[in-house]
Amino acid sequence: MRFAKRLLKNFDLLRVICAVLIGFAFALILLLFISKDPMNAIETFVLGPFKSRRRFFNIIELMIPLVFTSLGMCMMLSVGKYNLIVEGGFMFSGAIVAWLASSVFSPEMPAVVSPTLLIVVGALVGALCGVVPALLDVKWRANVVVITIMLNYILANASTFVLRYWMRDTTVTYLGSQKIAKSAKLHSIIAGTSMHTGVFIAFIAVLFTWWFINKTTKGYEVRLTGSNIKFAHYVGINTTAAMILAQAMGGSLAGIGGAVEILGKYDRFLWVNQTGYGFTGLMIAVLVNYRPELTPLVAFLFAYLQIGANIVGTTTDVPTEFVLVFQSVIILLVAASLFMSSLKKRLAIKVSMAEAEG
Amino acid sequence: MFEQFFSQDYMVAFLNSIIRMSTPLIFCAIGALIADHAGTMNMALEGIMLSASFAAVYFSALTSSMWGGIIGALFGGCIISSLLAYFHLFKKSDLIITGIALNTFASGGTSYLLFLTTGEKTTSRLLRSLQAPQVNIPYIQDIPILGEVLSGHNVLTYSSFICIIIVYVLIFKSRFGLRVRAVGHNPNAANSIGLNVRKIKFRALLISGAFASLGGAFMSMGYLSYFARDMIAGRGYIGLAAATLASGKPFGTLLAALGFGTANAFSITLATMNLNADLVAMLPYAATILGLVLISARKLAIEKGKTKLVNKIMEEKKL
Repeated sequence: MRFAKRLLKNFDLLRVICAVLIGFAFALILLLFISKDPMNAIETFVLGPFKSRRRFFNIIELMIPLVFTSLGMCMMLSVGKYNLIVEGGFMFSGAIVAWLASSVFSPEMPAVVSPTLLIVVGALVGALCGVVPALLDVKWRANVVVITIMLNYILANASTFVLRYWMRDTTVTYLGSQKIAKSAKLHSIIAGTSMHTGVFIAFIAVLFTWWFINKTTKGYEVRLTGSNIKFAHYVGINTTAAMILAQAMGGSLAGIGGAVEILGKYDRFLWVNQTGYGFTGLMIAVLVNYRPELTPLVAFLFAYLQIGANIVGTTTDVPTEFVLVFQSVIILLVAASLFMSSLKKRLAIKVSMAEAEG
Repeated sequence: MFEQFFSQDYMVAFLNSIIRMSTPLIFCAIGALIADHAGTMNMALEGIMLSASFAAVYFSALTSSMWGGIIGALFGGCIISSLLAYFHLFKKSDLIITGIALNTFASGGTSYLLFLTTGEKTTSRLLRSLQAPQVNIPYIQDIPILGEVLSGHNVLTYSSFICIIIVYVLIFKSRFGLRVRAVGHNPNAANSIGLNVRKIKFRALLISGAFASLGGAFMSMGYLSYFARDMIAGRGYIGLAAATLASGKPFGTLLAALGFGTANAFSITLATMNLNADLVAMLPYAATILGLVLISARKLAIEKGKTKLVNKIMEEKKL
């Protein structure tokens, strides 16, 4: 009985775990069909990421942008807006930061100052990206989802424009920017891997977002606006300000993410397509039910899956995209509020019957 | 640079490409329109079109017939739209999140199936699939310029225009349409007079998916002759925007879709003229945003005007 009670208490967690397991089963079936040597592919997918130190740190590295974008999405969703600008804001601020880092910032500048400045620039660019759709929404009630998806395409093109015409290095054969100044880069913290100091910035961002949403008045106003805008309005909260603030912060988190990613991981800016981190961020935010403190955990899970899929993609005959199916199945199940609801009902009845009996 | 643009051949080719580029948008916007009337929002249109365009190629190669491809496309699209309807209506999940998840699902799923069936990772050029035929309209094709613009399009292009009429009849002149609109307008009232709200919404979403699937079929059987990864490239969302822009009117939807098709064709034409490709590629999306903002601003102004009028009348009555 105590077990049933505990199960009921942590039912949300149980649901997520079940969804992940079902998704996992799905992925294994997909692998089984497509691979000539399925056992090897499955083993590579599941255990591959932990087989070497480098691969393990690859997971942590991939976690960093995902943490930022999912935090951004948590902010957007906690105010109840499906502002998907996180995707475009991440990329565009990366482009702007790379442009500044490769042209304006000279190698002689002090090593701590320039990354800090550049991250601030990234945050501002991201905030700007977040505010534009927010303003269109509050002023004219334009559909945020469609507007931000369109803006994402525009920002992706704008980033390519910046790359091609402002900072292209014509001495290399591929489409890449000039080299980013050494002084601007985030340092590697573990020798032999490309783990960089961005992981600390991500950690601070998680703490800050958690603190803002749960412990500040403004954060409470944001949450209240998200859960019941009319009520928030009647108790005297400036809902317009709350909406704009939350979306600006969400955008700036994405912007910081883009800056950190570029300064930590790349020598040159190379992105020509949408990165997809924003949409993965949305999925993570849904999975953690908009609780920022849990994003690193789920970001780790998603990064692990992606790295596993990448290894499968490079070492065996399987394309990496099957992992998208995996991720979307998890989200479909978790987003379905009635998924496993009958079990929950039965558990609740069982527990309350037992309590009534004494 | 621009003299070339105004030459007759160029104009004809340009107008011709407007019609071609608009076709998938029209189909998709019809889909969005039906979902809109049923009080839902079909966010999965992108995924529906993508899976339909893959299924079109696959089934047309399998059955080596065009109809096999079309039916396959309807089947492929309906899988996604019925998943959306099932999760939204029976599992109470959020439409937007489910829609985006399904788009990801379709993107990953089609890449997976592409590899499974052809062993290729980017395109399906190896599959011997058929194209939907081009149609020359008698009499019209003989008119000098008009004929070149209007005739010789894909059969699916003409169907898209016919579909607008079909949808108009379906929504505004049929019993089913009345029920769909009732459910969309006020589900509780519809329920109270004995309509099965869930069933009607489910059907509306399926039909919405079916129309979008035809757009997907056009992408791989008319616009291109093969399937390429993520070939829809945002057209699903643009179609959604077109329907939002027209606020539920079929012929307005047609106009909006043609408008976005024009922006699309324009960007391709400009790109060939040594203009900046990246800036020009933004054009259709920027046009969509502008259109959406204008239309919602107008709606808001009308709403405000109404409230003002009501307040005024109330005051006068008090006096």
